[in-house]
Amino acid sequence: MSKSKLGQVLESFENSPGSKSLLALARELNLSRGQTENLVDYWVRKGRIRAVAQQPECHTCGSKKACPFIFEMPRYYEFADE
Amino acid sequence: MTQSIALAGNPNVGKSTLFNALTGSRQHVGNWPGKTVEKKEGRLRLDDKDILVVDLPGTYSLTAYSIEEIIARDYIVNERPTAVVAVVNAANLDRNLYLVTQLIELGVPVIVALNMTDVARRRGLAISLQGLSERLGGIPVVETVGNRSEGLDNLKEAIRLVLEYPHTGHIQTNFSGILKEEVDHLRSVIQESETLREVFLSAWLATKLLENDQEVIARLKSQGEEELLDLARVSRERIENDTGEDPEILIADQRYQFVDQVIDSAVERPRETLITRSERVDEIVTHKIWGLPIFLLLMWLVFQFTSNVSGPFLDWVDVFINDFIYKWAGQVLELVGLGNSWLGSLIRDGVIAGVGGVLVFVPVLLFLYLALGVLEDSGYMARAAFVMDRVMRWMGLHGKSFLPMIIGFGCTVPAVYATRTLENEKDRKLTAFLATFMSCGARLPVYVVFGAAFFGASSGTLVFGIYLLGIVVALITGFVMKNTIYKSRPPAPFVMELPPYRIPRPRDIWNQMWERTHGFLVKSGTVILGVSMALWLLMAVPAHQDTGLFNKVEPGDSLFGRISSLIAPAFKPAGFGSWQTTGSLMTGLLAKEVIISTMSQIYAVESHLQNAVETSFSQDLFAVSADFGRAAFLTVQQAVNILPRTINLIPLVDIGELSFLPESSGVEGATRLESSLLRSFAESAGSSAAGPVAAVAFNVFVLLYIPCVSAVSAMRQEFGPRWMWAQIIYTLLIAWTAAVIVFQTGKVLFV
Repeated sequence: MSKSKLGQVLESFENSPGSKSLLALARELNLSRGQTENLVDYWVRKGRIRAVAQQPECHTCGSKKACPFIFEMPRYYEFADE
Repeated sequence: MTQSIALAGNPNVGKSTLFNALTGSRQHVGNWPGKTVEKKEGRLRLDDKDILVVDLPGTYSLTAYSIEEIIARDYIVNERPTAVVAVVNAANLDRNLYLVTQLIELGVPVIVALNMTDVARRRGLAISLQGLSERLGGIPVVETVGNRSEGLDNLKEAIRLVLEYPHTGHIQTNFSGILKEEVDHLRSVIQESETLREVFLSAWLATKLLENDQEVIARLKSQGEEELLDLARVSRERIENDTGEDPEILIADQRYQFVDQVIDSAVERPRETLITRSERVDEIVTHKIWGLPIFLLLMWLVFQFTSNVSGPFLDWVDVFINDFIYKWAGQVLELVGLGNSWLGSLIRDGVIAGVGGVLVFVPVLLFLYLALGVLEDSGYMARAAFVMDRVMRWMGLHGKSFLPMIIGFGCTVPAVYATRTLENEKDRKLTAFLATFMSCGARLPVYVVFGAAFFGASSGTLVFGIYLLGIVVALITGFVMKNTIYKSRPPAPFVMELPPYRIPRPRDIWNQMWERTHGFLVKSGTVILGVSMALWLLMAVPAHQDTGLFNKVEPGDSLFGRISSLIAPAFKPAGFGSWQTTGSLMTGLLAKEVIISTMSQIYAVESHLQNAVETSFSQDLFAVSADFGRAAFLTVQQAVNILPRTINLIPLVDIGELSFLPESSGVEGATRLESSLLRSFAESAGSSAAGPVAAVAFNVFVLLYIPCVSAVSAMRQEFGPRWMWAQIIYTLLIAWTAAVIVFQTGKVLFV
């Protein structure tokens, strides 16, 4: 039986140390962004994957959270060692 | 019995907007029993019936992992609402339908409110309502745009029909193999129990038992259903032995597969055509050879636009604040008897000159954010990141480093924190170090003032050159460090997604411009106001009792002037060794915009008393209004002239620029600050001809020297005090060295 999509997501994080962005994972597993969010969200809820700290709000720059050079801050996740 | 409907959905799908639209002001807000989660109830009047509407907490699924999920699920299972309206984001169906499938599995009548359909249409998504309804077991699917109250009547009609003729959907999640066998086995056992049949839908309960749902298991235990629980445990073991996977994962996976199938059959995406068209553009824009020159040309255009096109309005705001408001605020203070008091001086020379000196740059920022907004919304910025990523890898830096460094163009603080996405500690430190050389937005006002004062129409080129220098210094520093103290294997390419190009939307761009400029205005009213008042105090206090009295002292003899004078000689080799520039650099450590507010304060005190032309209020008001119209004309002129200026970049080509108005128009002349800078830099550099060279050296120093105190604190927090001090010393040394080289070389070449 071939590995489930959920299993592939977890395996991808287990096999590559460090963090990985949602988009990089979507590309790696050939999934849409929404599908990838669903699958990652499942493992986050189960505590097997965790989100890497979000960008803090910047209080010192006029642009605040929305950086003038980036569309949207990429979301990064990593394998949560137990 | 009162009929009720529950609103369920993912967070941020417009559920509350629909709830408000359905219930109007007939709402009650409280908490869910025993929980701190907010519970909103309202009343919907339909066919003379009062229907209870309950807004459930936003959740992505109905498992038992979060309090919101448990509340939503328990409400549906225990309270049994007459129907559930599942609010889904039409633009992100992949994510939203998972919850819908779980709601349908609960055996309750479900209506899908396909919200945000306007966004989905803009993204080119075509959703078949009929197709979606059929794949979801025949449940009603209604289109809505909650924030415009569109589709509300259709939704009410769907609710009315479902309340009258309840219909539960039935979906085939295609459980297969041993999973299907075990679900069917448990279902048949549940069906045999009358008590369980009354409370639970057998298929849902069987699935929950195989998922090992602790909430459901606890509930069955309390009802004495030990035998069923044992059977479920055996079933789970059988599945696990047979497939090697946890049954919960298998069930979730098959649900996701079902969602994929629904989307494949009911949603048409324009992906192929958009990507093909975008890819054709990308062949040029991200080309190995042309990508970088195109990026540089676009950045050159951005800074031309920012510096030159905003110039006329910058001058107008300067005249408005520093002449009109400064003068008439003074008159009002005279009238109330505060004209020569310390309070009057604080208001005029502290608050108006300091904060006003920075507010002058609002037009610059609006134009910068307009230009960047267009590039960002069109999809180009992601390409810029792609092009820069390649350059950085070529220099031996990690592919992922591009992100924090590009964020550094906005602000260094989030850039330092953004290095957390790098797994290697050495790469993190190095990237944070380099990000400080990316010129943050707060330094832009400095370049713009000096550009306008010393280089006039070529000021955009100065700004562009300074930004480019920051990138070059960062790359060289990175290259040297990567090949010496941080030697490691070559970095891997960074995988990134390039979104399709699109026509920028004016409303989105305006929102970005406002959000970012608003942040700047807030900072002007807080940090800069505080610093301006503190600086006024330091400039009002004489350094010695012989040099003057409080608030009656020459700026150079004040405490601030004398302290700055002590350090000023260090900058003499760089051509800007005056106490005024040194003092501005010192206060600039708090925030870079403060450099300009400090200069405005210093030169305001020095020059306002000298020029007093007698004019009436109405004459001044008329002049300011006329200048506004003139500034509008000149803005159009500057925008048009970007074209010949860009063409003139080609060697041996020289096209003339257009001129709509006579040269001597009021808002075109040098501002008071600009005139003061021309004078001051000519003095400190030794001659008028050397002044512009010293000005460039000063800008280079501002670009490279210690980042603001917030950025330094972020470095300390992330990497410790040693690294922070290393950065402070390195940036100070490199800034001083570069400024001296620029001034000394420039003097030899151009003076």
